[in-house]
Amino acid sequence: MEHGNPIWTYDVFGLPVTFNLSTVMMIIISSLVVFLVAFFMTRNLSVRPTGKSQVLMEVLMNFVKGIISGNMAWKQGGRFHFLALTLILYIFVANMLGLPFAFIAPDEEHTLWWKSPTADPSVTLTLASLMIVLTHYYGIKMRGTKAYLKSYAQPVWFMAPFKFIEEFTYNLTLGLRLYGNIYAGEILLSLLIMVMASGALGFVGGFIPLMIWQGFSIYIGVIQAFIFVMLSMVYLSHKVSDDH
Amino acid sequence: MEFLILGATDTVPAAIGNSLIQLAAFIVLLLALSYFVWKPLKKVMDEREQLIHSEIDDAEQRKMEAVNLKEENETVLRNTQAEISEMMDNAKEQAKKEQEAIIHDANTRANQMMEDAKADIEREKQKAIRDINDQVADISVLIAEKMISKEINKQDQKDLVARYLQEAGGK
Repeated sequence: MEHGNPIWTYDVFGLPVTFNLSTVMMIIISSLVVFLVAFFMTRNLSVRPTGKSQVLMEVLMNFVKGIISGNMAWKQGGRFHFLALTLILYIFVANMLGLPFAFIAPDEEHTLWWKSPTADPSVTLTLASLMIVLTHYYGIKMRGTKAYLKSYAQPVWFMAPFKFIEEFTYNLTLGLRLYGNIYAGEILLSLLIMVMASGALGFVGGFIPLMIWQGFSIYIGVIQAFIFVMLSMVYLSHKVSDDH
Repeated sequence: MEFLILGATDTVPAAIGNSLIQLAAFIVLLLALSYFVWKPLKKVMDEREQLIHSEIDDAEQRKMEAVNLKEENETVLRNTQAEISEMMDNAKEQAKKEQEAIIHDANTRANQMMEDAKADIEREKQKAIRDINDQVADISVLIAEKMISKEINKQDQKDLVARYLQEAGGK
């Protein structure tokens, strides 16, 4: 059950920079999968689509457009379209990668190599931080510094400390929700696999729950990708929109 | 520096390197997808939207043109019909006028002829009466000559007879 992590530390000017090599690998694999799938699905584009792949991508595009325009005017939200598309596709693929199998090295630590990159809190918190930083950046850029600072004192001035703390809780909840769901899903998967590996009875008893849990994990992966993008857009609209 | 909140300090070290890699990977992915996938796809979708808009505009314009054309045609038709009926009325009136003129002409000529004939008859009658009077006078003179056998002035005799006859005619 306890899996080791392939840690590699590199000193930059005396500061240790730590890498989890399996996470790094999975980040790169996820990005490549997302890019290649999206790239080859949109090769023969035409105004009158002939294949299913273009229609599928357009459906995704309109779906994300719906998420954004549900939160803010398209005039403001249009610029986040590509960001939200990339985000939802990346998180979805990252969530799915850990489901079909896991690769655990046959060493003493049982080093886990193949997993969802989103089952690592550093990944999800990085994405969440990026989104929160972007909300502040676009809040200042689109409404001006004055209006941005003023929004902390609304609706009343003594709410300002809470509003300030809220920005950090947004960051934590956004990142840890995704991490928790995917990490817990993978732990349960590995538990069920251990049950199945324990013997003939365990194999028979564990097969159906494993299938059910994998199906449910697909559902969770889709939902979590959707929720992450949805909440990012909600936070963006809080900062970007003039009317609350 | 470790994630104390997760309570798994030995298994999940704060891998700041992961964050950097994730950040770089996401930004590269965002740029690559935007350039190679989202932009072309958005362009195609916008083009389609534009096409649909222009087609709808075109159809609306055509519909309006058709309505205008129909109205124009109806106006022309109505005008033509009015013109035709007017021409028919004119022709009818003309024909009637001509008919009346012909009848009038014929009547006039017939009356003229009747009057001429009457005048001729009257003239002939007068002439015949005068002839008869002359002859009667001559005959009377002849008879008188014969009867009295006395030669009187022929002219006096004539006057006498004419006077008698006048008297006889006056009674």
